[in-house]
Amino acid sequence: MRYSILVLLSLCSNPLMAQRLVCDHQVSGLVVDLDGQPLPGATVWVEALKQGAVSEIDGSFLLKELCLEKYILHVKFVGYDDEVITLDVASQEKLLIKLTPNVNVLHDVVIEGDHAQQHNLSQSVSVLSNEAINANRGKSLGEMVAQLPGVSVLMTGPTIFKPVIHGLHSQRILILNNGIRQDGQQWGIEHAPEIDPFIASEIEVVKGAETVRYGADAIGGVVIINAPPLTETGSIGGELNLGLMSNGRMGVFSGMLEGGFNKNQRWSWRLQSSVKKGGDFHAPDYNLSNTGVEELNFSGAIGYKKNDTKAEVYISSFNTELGILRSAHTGNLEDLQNSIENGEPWYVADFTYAIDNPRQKINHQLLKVSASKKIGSWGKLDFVYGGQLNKRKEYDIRRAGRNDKPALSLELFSNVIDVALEHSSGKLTGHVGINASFKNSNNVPGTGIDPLIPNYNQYTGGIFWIEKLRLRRWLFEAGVRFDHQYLQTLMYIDKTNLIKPEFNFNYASGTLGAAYYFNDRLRLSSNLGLATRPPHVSELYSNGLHHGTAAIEEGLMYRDGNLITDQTAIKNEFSKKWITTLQWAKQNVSMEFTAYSNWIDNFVYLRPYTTRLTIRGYFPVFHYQQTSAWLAGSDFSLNWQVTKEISYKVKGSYLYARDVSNRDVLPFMPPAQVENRLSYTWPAVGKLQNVYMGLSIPIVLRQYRAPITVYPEDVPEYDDDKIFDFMPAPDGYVLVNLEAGANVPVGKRQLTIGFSINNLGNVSYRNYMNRLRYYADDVGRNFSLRLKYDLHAH
Amino acid sequence: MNQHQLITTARSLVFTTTALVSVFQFSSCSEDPEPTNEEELITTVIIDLTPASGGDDIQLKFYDADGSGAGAPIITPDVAQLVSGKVYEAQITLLNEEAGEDITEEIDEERNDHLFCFTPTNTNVTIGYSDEDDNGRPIGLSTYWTVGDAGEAGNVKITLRHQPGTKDGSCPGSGDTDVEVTFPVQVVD
Repeated sequence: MRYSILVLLSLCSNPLMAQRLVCDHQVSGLVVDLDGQPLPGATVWVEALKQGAVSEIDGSFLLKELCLEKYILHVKFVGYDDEVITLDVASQEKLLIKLTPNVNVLHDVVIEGDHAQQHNLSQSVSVLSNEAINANRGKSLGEMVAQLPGVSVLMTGPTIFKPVIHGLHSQRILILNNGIRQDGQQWGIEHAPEIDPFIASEIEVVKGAETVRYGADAIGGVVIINAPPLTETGSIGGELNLGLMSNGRMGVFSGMLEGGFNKNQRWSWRLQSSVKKGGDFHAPDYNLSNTGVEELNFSGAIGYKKNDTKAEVYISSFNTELGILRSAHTGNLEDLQNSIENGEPWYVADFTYAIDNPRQKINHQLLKVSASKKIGSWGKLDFVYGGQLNKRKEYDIRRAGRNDKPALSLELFSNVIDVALEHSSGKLTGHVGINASFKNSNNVPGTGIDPLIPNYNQYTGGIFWIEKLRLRRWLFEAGVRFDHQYLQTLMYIDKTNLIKPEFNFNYASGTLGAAYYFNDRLRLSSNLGLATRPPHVSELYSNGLHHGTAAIEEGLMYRDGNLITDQTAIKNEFSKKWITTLQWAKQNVSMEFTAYSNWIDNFVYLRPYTTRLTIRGYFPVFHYQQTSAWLAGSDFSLNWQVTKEISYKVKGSYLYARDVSNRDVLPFMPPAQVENRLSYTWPAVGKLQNVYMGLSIPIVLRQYRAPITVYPEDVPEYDDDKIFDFMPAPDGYVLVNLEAGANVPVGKRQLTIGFSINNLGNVSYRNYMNRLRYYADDVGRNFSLRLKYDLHAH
Repeated sequence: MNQHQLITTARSLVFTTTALVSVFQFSSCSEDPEPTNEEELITTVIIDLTPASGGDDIQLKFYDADGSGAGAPIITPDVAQLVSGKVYEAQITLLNEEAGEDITEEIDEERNDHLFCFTPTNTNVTIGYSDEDDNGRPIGLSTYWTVGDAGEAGNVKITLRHQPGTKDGSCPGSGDTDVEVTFPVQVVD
């Protein structure tokens, strides 16, 4: 955070200030980490002169226009503790500055520099740093990002996690996997992102609409997964990771190798793979039977770089199979009622690694081709193509030997092209681009069950323009985008008539933002985003019984259970989100406060409208409807380095969500939460470095704005249209987590050891954001051990 | 950059885009889907009641053509009239009329995993099992209904429990519900 502010301020600093005395001395230096590795991009700030320098790729920097006196230097770098040193210009020739990595789990920073063009600078962004990712290796992507303030997670048991940003998720959140928008069957709550978190060196979360840059599916925000850049060095490096967890008896292993081709250092490559296997998780009082998981992932990249031309080909394959809690498969409302009354799962068996039905099997293949070239004074041209094939199979508990037949089998083939021209002329930088996508989604025949959503072809074309203007302490930005989408769906009515309804959606987005730098410590930014999103096929045409929720769901294009053809009833979702962030940083304290208000017209969501008698008994029927929604809230975080050894962190978030049209609450909105963390660091203990111990206490409050409770047995008599839930929101809970770690030098290389205990007290609790909370408690105590061995010689 | 370069770049851009768009077009020639044959649908539950000591047969029928669709099920008769003092032999038949299949056979084949449960409410009928699976546990495809004193109209609820690997013969026991139908029943003299 501090680093970027400083870089910017140094650009804005007044050139008239430095010219008074004979102050033309220079001091050069080097910024390195504890192992002597250079740290490029660190800021060296001369407080008295209000100017500074940024270290180069080899860690070197040069301070100019210094007088013959003493200065206080502030050295800052993302992921490292700030360093304050005194520089005596008279006696100093070359400075060597060593920075200590901060072991804080999270580091919220404003990213500029490399990332400057990726998203709005006036937007609220949180970053999961490499250190934080390393400290959470073995967790899924959703679980990892949920540690950032304002980000939470929607769960289906202990293995399926979906990121939720300020209350929005699924088709409203875009996930950028190494520069490519993740196209999977992301519309369902039980559809987790098909991404191997081991590819990430950094994860950014943009907490406002980024539809101008990325299109309609970024209406609620973006999760950006950045892989480390390819290295062109001749030597081979890499890393090995091993994670072991007691709960679920899970093991995770990943390996990565990278290097260049000796000759001219223009070519570089990377190969990476990870494997994961876990069995049944357990809650404090019982096994969560059939919650095992298996994963086998692979990725490879090859890059070429010459002067200002860059090209890269990247492929990845993500393959997983995971079990869904056996007891969560409900035949009808009576089953659900029994589960709620029992208070614990009806099926509890001994631990096993075996994965039985209900289960999901997912394969996701990705091909990315990207290239960029500087075109004279025009700027930089970026081209990205992404092709994805996603196969999702869901297996249910069925009769007559059909258990091996998927109950749902979807295949999505997606192609995306992005072409953008980036220009920069002094104070003005900007981006003009087009993107086009084609998606084809099919139900693979042979399930013996009517498909939940129809087959479809979707073509989207968009054009956007974003400009940023830097003026002294101000930063302004504005952007606009237009899209057209053609959607064709294919489905049967009455088993015999094939119909192909077509839709044409035209929609626009805009953004307007500003940031003001009071000084190098205080920054205020504000952004207004206008975003439009046409409804997704699942929202238009879902139709069928959902076994996980014991409910029948019907899309916008159904009325009283019958298909309609009138498309005028369907409106684009329109979000107006205003988000303001205040950031303040001092030597040993940094603070961030974000407030937002999001008004969404035609917000699509599920609402009960009737109860239907079927041969399986009564079911509530939920209908996709459009309403005016209002979501407002705030996130805050504070990091305080109390002494050199002790650091304290606190972060929290609160969200207020309201269905304005129906004067009701909205379902599945995260409750308020606060997390306190205290840690103690020893710089060195014997041969060990960066030895630390930490204690964190997450507190999750009850969701007081949960829908009214209608128990399953009361559903047949329920005739109101207020949104309801089958059981009251669970009580709040407090967990205690402990962690410790150290770096161990092994010859020239380094081994990083991390150990943690989550839910130390083995507390039984249920999470409002877990869809399986009707059936079982959340997971209990978990010991985990993580080892990381860095193959790069130091 | 000079104009020539710009034109070249623009031209290659247009070319690439055109090429890729045609790839899109090609790949999108997806065939029309086939209609799904709903294999596990149960459209009909029939209970044939035959008095052991002579008298009129009674058939209870629950018919729902469209599974979870909006079409309302048809339940006949409005109120089944069982004669006081009689014992009826009851036989359950499950059909998928859409596919013309008899699901009863499927249940019988998987009798070790299935159990019918019977819950009479407000009516003087007692229901006992007259069949058992390979483990000596009841199935419920065949039952006998002992009818007591006459009274007001009540209900008999019949559920089919699917309990793969966990069936212990108790109701409702473990597992999921595949069928839940309720028939209005009255005992008359």
